[in-house]
Amino acid sequence: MNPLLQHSLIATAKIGVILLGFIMIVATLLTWAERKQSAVFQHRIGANRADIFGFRVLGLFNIIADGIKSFTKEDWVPPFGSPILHNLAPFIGLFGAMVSFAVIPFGPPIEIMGQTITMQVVDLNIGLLYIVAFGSMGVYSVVIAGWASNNKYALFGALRGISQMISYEVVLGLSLIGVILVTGSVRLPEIIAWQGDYWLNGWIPRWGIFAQPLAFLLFFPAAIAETKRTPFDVPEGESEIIGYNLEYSGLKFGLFLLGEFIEIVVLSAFVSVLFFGGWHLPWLTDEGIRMGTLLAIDLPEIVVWLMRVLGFSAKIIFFCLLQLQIRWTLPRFRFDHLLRLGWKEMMPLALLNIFVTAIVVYYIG
Amino acid sequence: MATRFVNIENKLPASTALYYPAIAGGLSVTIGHFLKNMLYHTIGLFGNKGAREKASFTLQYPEVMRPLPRRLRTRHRIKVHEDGRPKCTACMLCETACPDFCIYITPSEHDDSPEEKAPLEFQIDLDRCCFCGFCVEACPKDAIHMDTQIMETSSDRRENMVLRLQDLVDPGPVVVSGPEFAGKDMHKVLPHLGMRKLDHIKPRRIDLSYRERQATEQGS
Ligand code: SF4
Ligand code: SF4
Repeated sequence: MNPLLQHSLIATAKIGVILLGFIMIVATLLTWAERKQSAVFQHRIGANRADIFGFRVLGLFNIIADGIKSFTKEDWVPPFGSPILHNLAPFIGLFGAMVSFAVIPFGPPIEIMGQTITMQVVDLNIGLLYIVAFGSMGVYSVVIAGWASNNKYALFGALRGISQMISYEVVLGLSLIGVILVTGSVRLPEIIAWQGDYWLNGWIPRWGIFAQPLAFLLFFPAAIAETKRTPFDVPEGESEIIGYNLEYSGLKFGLFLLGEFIEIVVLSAFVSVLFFGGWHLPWLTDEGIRMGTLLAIDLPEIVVWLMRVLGFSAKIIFFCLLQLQIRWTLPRFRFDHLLRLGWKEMMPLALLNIFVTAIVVYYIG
Repeated sequence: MATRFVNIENKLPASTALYYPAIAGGLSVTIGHFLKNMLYHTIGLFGNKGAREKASFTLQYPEVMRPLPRRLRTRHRIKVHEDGRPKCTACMLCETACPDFCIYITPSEHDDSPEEKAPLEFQIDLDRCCFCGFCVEACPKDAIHMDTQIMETSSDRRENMVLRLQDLVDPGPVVVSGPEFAGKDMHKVLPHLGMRKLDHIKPRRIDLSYRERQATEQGS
């Protein structure tokens, strides 16, 4: 087969499976999981009314009902605003969130019919920067949505959104520098490969969380602030204050919501890659399970590969659920507290982390 | 008056000021509830009713009705004598008392009746009714009551929201709900109470000219 054709076929298949298959399915299921999870711990049942021929399947059909509802609602474009920008804004946010998934490696490369296939759509050598760059596209979505609506409440929401997201992007970037210093790369497969090692005679996996604990503690909240969810949901404030998506209805409003859920998936994948070993599972090497000198089980290559891909997916889903749980547990920050936390408390800590890491790396690593 | 600036120092305990211990505490509470309820839900899947009730406190409303307070003001009814005559004497007091002008009575003389007057038609437009209960208080004959315990009076047509004399008389003597109906299937309890859903009432024409005349008369 023509190598170019083959290459593009593989790339298309990867986009189909990873981008459309994995993220879209997980993101849609998250809309259901969010309601059900909160319902379960609040001693409720949660959405369960939608049924097809009397079957309710734990309320899963509510997803379909929601989709139909948002498709059939009127798509209202404010005549006093800017229609082109107004239509563009939700797509920018969705695009930025979906595209950043392209560099996430889902597993180690696999050989199929003499061809090595990497488990990511593109293997960029600046993968980490790429994700951060496209993650910050969300700011444009927010500011354009607020501005194009030509509504002062939407604009205020957008202003809150920008100031929050830009503040936390600083912390986000600075906390990542520690990881870059330690792993010595911004290419995601290399960062994962670095984490495949062990400390203490193969007992503690050399994961980012153990190498850079402070970076993780700073990165995770900053990234949640980027996704604009509680406790950092001041730009939207669904429950009482009105946010940047005030003048949106129907499907475009749904796209903002979908973009938010996709951001959750991307963030979970990013956290797993940077701090939780990516597709590495503890004590699972290429040959099989190795636990120090205690345990040695040899496994076939394909089993190891499958375990790693499934393990990575499990990590992603765990962090998605953790974020949902955080959203339903914590109250919202007051806006001045939020900015103070970002600039005055988290940023100095991030700088301290870089400083200490740099010294340690210079003298030891 | 001069503006005074007061510096309030918020001295938080270290566990709160560091956020993470407090967040972990909060998460452990919610995750604990989550796991406990998931366990109860799973046991409930195998048919254990007690476990299911422990997992969620909510009643599944359209299927299961919560017992209503006895004095709750619900859909109206008109009481009848033993021989089936409405107790109403068409004195128009309720119509006058109604703040929403939603009662329209067509009175008529009645030779058979000891009261000499009786309503030919008695309409209550539930669309306008605010369930204030003034009509009940106004009635000198204690003929109109709001104790049918019917609250599901919604309809997708305006005409269906108008009760006629027939609908008002029909619910008959109603057993008020009590603890004995707690958690019972609503659709099983309703026929037992002699109630009907409002949706089954045939659409009617509203006499608009009558309503307008009424509003102007009472408004002036
Ligand atoms: S309850 Fe109040 S508003 Fe309703 S019919 Fe009676 S008097 Fe009128
Ligand atoms: S006040 Fe009582 S008796 Fe008089 S018209 Fe109304 S329901 Fe009939």
